[in-house]
Amino acid sequence: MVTTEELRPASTSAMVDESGIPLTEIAALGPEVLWRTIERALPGLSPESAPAAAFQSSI
Amino acid sequence: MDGRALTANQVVLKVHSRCDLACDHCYVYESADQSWRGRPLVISRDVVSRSALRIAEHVKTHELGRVEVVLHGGEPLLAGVAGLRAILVELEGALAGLCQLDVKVHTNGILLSEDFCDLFAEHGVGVGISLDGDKAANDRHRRYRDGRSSYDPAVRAIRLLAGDRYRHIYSGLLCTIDVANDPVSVYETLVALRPPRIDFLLPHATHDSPPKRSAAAGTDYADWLIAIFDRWKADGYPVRIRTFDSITATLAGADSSTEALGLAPVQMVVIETDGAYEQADSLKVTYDGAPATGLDVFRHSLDTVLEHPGVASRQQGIAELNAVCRECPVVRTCGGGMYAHRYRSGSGFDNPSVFCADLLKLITHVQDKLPHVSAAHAAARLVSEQALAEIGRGLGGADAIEQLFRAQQPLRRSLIAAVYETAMRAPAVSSRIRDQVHDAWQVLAAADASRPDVVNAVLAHPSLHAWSARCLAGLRGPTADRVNDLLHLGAVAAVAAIQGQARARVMVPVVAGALHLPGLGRLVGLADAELADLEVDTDLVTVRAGTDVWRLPRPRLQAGDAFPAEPWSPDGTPGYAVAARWEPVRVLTAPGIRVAVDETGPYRDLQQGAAASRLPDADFRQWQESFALAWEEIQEHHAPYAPALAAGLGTLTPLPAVTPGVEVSGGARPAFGAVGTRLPDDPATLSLCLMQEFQHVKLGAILDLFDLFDPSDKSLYRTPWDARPWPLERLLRNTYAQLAVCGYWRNRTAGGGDDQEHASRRYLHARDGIEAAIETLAGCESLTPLGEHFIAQMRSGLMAIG
Repeated sequence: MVTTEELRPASTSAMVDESGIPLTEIAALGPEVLWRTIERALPGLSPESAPAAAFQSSI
Repeated sequence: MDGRALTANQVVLKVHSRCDLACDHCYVYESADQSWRGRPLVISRDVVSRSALRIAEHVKTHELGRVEVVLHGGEPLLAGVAGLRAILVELEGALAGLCQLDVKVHTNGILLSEDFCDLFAEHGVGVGISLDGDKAANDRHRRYRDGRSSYDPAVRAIRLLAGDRYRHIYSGLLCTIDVANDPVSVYETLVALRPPRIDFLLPHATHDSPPKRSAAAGTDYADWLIAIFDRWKADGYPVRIRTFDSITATLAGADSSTEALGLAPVQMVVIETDGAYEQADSLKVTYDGAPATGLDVFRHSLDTVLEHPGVASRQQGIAELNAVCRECPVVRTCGGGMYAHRYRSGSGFDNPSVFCADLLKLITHVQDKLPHVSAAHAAARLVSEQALAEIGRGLGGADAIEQLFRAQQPLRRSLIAAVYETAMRAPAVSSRIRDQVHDAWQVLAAADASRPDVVNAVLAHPSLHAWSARCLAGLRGPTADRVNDLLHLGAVAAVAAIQGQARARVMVPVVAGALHLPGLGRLVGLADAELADLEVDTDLVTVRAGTDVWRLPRPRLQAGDAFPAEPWSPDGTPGYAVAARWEPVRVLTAPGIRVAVDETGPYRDLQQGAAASRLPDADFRQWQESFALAWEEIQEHHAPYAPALAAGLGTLTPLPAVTPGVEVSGGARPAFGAVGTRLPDDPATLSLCLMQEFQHVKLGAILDLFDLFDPSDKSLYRTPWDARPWPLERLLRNTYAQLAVCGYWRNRTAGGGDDQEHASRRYLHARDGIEAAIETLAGCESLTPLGEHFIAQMRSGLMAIG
């Protein structure tokens, strides 16, 4: 038997299961984590913010 | 490394090499590297032009969809309004039609004026300002050369950005940590300035020049940030904090959004005012000349910069780290810390960060406080291998469909949370709409705290996914449209309050004279209103629109009754509101199945194409009769499909007939549980439509959870159903839907009767098409292993049909 876990690409193996977590805590996960969870359900829509890591600037 | 091509998607453009402040913690002027002394004051037009061409060249080479340019210094505003305008025009001209260009400017704010803000608003430039906290905290380092405080002019600039006029270009605040400052006081000061985002930056330090601490082995910086994290969490996360977001992101397997954390390859290049390429500015604290590459925009491409040994060494992920880091339990989040912070004379960068103990303590603390982040229970794991195999074969029983339903719950909770979180930050959202969305979210969150089962049921409405996608798409960029769609969150929250027996007050949009409550129905007759104030109480729901007020009995809303709305006046006298009427969602019923008819919801057309308007009663009765007969046909002749339909088909959207006699039906990816169809001429055809379109529902839910193919594959594939080739997903979806069509006609051939010959022809036609399509799919190189497995199950399902 081939398991779904074995067949899932490594890049998608870490998502968050929010089914038992209050909505307020889910929203607090931040855009990067939220996007990771929903991106497959939004084909054609790319992440909206900062793909580049913000460099550390302190002007 | 994960196989991604090395690209520079962030370019820091130094537009002025001097500063009007003399902060004693500035890495540009006060660090080991003194290369600024030899740089031109202002970037020349030639350097700007060559830089823009180099960026465009890189975008074309790598087909980048987006690139970010950060205007930096020194102090970039010293380049002046005209100077910055020329730079922006040059960049926009070079990249027009090539990719999305996002420009940001990082400034101390001293010179920020309405003229600068107008320029930035005109060109969509986000503005980040440095502020280290309250006046005492800020004045500890951020002073003019003569010692004067820079606090007041910086705060004036921030308030200019925080006002409604320029809020859409306010990208956030940057705060360099000094542990001598009170962390909570710093946090409160910054939050009060209403930034969309805060970056707390560790002060640049190395093992040669360590940061100041109360004790050599202390964790002052972790303790400082933990105090803020705990307060931030207790406050309900009122603002995004990049440091904490990056920790949660990396704990969940995503990339960090700061170079100070995570293992993602460095994708940033600095261009100095003389056109020299440099590595990260932070390296200036290590030794004189450390950031230098010896490369420049006149002679070298950005690809050449990425091949530079100093840059390339930072593309290796965990492999580039020292042995201590590689064994560390938090290495995937910490990433060894900022590269410069690892430096020590002699061993170079082959050391843990000088903030190692702080990072370990902080990450562990966040992990402990947000255990769900690293639980890594993918929603996909809610679907068993057996269910996936059953669905792959084109069927799937009630239990398999129930698993898909359960897996949709976390997805939908994340979708609505993403809409809320994005709306709170999006520049296009006015403070009025933001406040209303926030209020609606509070109602929904309160309902969720007491009745998460009710909220899950409300979020299961098929339109929620399509509405979320529409909102998230509409929130892009400073001129995003459709922000009014966000107010539908009020309607979702209102339904949660009504169904959860909670008290609440929320604003709900009025669309074409009707107030829509998803899953319940609509109040019609509110012709002139755009918004209604909806107050949910124990027994009554009071609706106020303009000067009109109506009271709706809550039990009747929940019971699905149709009734005239009762006008009401606050003093108890009979009301004089215009006539309004509550129209409930109607339901098609047959033994063992109930299907809501979405004939009025404002987002129903996003799922199914153009939707029909509310059916006249006579038409609805016709639908009911046809539906009952269609269900009888399914149970009698297509029994293997019935359990899944009974368990999973929750909503039907009537579609208008485009051409008489031509069947129109659809099942959309973002509408789990819903199909759309016109009313066919005979019930048997309706049963075929339901079976076929429900295939799309099942496969859409699978695609929401699993990668069956590489989504970046833009190839077109030969299809037996069209002379023109199709994208991979469309071919897969249609092939999967045809499995039910094939099964339907196969069953009809077995049933005897006059149409047996016709059924046989249709069966063979469908079968031939599926066989050809499966071969195309199986030969596609973009399938994941799970996709190959799924296609094999589809082939098995076809063989089982006969």
